[in-house]
Amino acid sequence: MGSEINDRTVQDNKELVLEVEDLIVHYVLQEETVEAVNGVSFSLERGKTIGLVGETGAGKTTTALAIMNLVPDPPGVIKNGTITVCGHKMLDLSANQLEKIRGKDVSMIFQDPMTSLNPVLTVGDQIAESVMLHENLSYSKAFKRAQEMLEMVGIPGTRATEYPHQFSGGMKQRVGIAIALACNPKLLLADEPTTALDVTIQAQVLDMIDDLKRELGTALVMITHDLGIVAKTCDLVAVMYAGRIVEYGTLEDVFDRTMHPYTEGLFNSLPDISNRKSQLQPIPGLMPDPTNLPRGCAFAPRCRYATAACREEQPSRREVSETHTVYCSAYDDPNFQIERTRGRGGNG
Amino acid sequence: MSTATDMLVSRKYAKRSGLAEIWYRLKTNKGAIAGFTIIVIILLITLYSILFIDFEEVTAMNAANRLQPPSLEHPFGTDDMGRDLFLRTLYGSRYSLLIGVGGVSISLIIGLILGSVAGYFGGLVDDLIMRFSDILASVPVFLMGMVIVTVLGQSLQNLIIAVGVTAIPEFTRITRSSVLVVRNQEFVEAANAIGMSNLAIIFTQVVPNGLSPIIVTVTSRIGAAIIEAAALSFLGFGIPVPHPEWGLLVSEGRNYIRTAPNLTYFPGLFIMITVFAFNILGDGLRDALDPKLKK
Amino acid sequence: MLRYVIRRLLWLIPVLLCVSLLIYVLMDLAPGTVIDSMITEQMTPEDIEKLRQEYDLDKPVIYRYVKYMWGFFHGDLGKSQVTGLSVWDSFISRFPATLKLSLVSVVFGAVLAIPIGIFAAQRAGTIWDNLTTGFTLIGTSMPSFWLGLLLLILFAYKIQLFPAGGYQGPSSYVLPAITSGLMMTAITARQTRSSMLEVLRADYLRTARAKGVPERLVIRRHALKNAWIPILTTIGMGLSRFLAGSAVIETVFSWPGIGRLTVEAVSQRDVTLACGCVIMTSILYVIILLIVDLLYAFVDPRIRGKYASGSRKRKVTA
Repeated sequence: MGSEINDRTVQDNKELVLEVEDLIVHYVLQEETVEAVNGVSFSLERGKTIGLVGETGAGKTTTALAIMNLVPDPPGVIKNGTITVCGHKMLDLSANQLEKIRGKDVSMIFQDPMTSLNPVLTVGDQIAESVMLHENLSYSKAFKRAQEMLEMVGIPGTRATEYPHQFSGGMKQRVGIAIALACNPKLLLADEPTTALDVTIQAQVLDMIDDLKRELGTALVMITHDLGIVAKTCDLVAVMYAGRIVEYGTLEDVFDRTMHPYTEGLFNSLPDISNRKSQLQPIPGLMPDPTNLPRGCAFAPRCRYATAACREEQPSRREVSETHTVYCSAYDDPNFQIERTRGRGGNG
Repeated sequence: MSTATDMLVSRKYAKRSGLAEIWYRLKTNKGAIAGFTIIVIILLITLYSILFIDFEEVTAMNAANRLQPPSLEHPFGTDDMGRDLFLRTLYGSRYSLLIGVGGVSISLIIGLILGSVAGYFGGLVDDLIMRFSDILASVPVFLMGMVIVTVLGQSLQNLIIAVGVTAIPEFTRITRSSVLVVRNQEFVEAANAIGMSNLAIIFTQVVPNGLSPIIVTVTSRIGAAIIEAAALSFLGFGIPVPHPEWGLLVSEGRNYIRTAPNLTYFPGLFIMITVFAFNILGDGLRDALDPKLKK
Repeated sequence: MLRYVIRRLLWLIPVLLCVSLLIYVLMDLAPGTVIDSMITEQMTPEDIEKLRQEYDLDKPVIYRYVKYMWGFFHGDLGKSQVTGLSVWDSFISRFPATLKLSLVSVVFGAVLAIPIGIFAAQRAGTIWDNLTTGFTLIGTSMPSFWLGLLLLILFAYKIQLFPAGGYQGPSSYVLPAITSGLMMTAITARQTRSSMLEVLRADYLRTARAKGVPERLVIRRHALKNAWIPILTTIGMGLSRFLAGSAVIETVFSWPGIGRLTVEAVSQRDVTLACGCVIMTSILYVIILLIVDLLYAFVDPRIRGKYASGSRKRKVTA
């Protein structure tokens, strides 16, 4: 069960591998500033999985890059926040120190396997590289490890001497996973690892990440816009919108006791298999322009429950239970319920 | 950094579209503006020289005025035949412009066609074209220029042809290699899949996407063509005397390099400035055409 | 791979035959013939006709070409009409000067250019980038003969540090090598910057950084290796151009290389010598270009894969 209650007063005796506090990241361009991440906080225990859910442009990838301290600069600027990975304050470290942590304590699987492998190095070398860097092994030993890693992700070790263009998309992503897991990291960031893949391959890759995670005890940040993947893999869920977390809780909290209108909108835009006659209800409108965010709640322009107050002020933070937090001013009215909870009797 | 930054880049330029955006980026590019300005000035000089400077005036000898140092009357000094170097230099701008633009047009058109066809179709067509290009390219550019001028005779037109022909293989090769890089990318397969004809794919997908190296080449080639022609003239394979072509002027000045280096300085400086203008404009064009290349 | 190399080497034969044919026919078309300089006023038309027959000028050009190539494959390129020396010997005796100068210039140029290009690409958009770009632009905009003359004026005449020309001792290399080396530097640095910029945006560099690869290695192992092809092309072209004799630079510095030999031969209408020089030079040039082409396959496995599969048409599966 998820036990991260409150992102500010954690500590207890649990082993935290990741702590993000009040992260703000902007991209400063010549003519404008893109406010990509605007105050995100969450944390993750050893071996657990958190899902970062939201539409394209919600700031998920930027958050992940910030955790690695890999936000491209320029134009990216980390304006505020602390990020702690296994006790290391990532944003305060020198390039040298970061290089020792990246790939060893924390590593990342990227979205597009087609472009994230180096075309002129063999896959074996690309896996072995991080082993050599972090474990001081000789090339031949590292290469052997690379072959084992390939076997682990279901690719014959003999193919380690081949180049990325000789592999299919799904296999390239497996290679990406092998690279990320080569040094047995404590924290793995998976940025839409299956978006570029076939549905059948998606399931395989997800199962594999899940198995490996369990086997190695890795904590996982799963970035996705697919609620199905969240349900399948995550212990905790953080729903992001326009660079902020709008709802945060355990899988059960967010799925069964949904509070935020945006989360509800995400569920409504999924097809309902049990009721074939039901219509999809997409969320009306588009994400706000990240260079020009509204003064109040960023979701207010698309929200059917929005009040005048919502448009004027940032939403208030509400702890619904020990594990469940929502950012929505509508709950200032004690009788407020979203439709999804109303239908089910609710718990408000 | 495809996802994050590309989105930003496309965001950044989404406000204006197509040509308007390219124009905007060109307008805000200091190098491009500088290059363009210099080219306009050179064009004005050329126009002035065509209207107001006679060929007689720049070729008539005047023994009394031999090898004067630069002065108010003769800003660049006079040459060994007493001719005013300033007027001769201004008069010479027309040759370089014609050679640069004319020569590159020849090589661009032919090279672009040959290179895209070769790179796109591959196989036998590729082999044939590249072998042809290899044969042409196997004769070093400068020698080829020399041979062509020797065969056709020394004249402006033949110098343009010489400079144009020698660059065909380079354009073919570069077009082909950018096509090869682009060809294996997925949008080409996508175009193939929706049933676009080969020709349509070449011109709508492959050429625009592989364009930036070609534009860089065109740019540096206009400049290089001017330099190459000047070098041919310098060695006596260009426009015949007494035409005041810049390369020829430097070569004439070389005889007095110890006593009157001004004869070497000024015409060469004009070559450099002209070529520099084309190069810097081309750089600006490249940045404007491909936002991803900048920053 | 080996099959590809062999195939390319075999290709050299028809290419060289075509090149020599092209040059021979062109030179033949040029005004003036071999015998022009031998004709004296005392000669009767019959004498001239005899001379024409002796040099096969009454036969078609192809006949002369085949005969010429027959001699060529037996190491006989004829004799210079001006000096009477064997063309082959003249060429070979001049070649070392060109080779040495080319190697010095290319090494000097590339060693300077690649770090400059990388430096500028990494700082794209900053003042440092603009400065280096400005310098390389000026470099590519200078006619080499002019730069050579400027260096001469400054270092040979004004402060008399280096000899003005000739080919004696290491100091004579300095000015010509700097002249052609700087040209090389400017062009190669520009190319390096431009292809590095393209590569620096690549996703796989982010992957490398995420693995904890030190920035130095990200550039050297991951980025540079992908940016190599255009850089190699530029360097290879530079080398082949120099080897083909930088006629201009050799002339400016009175360097006794094959470039100057060729220029002199062509200007003096020394057809046999000119033809031999151009053909020999072209052979050299072709071989360098072949080596560059083979290097492509060496640095880029995708191209290698294409060659290895034997058929160029087969699409590489993504």
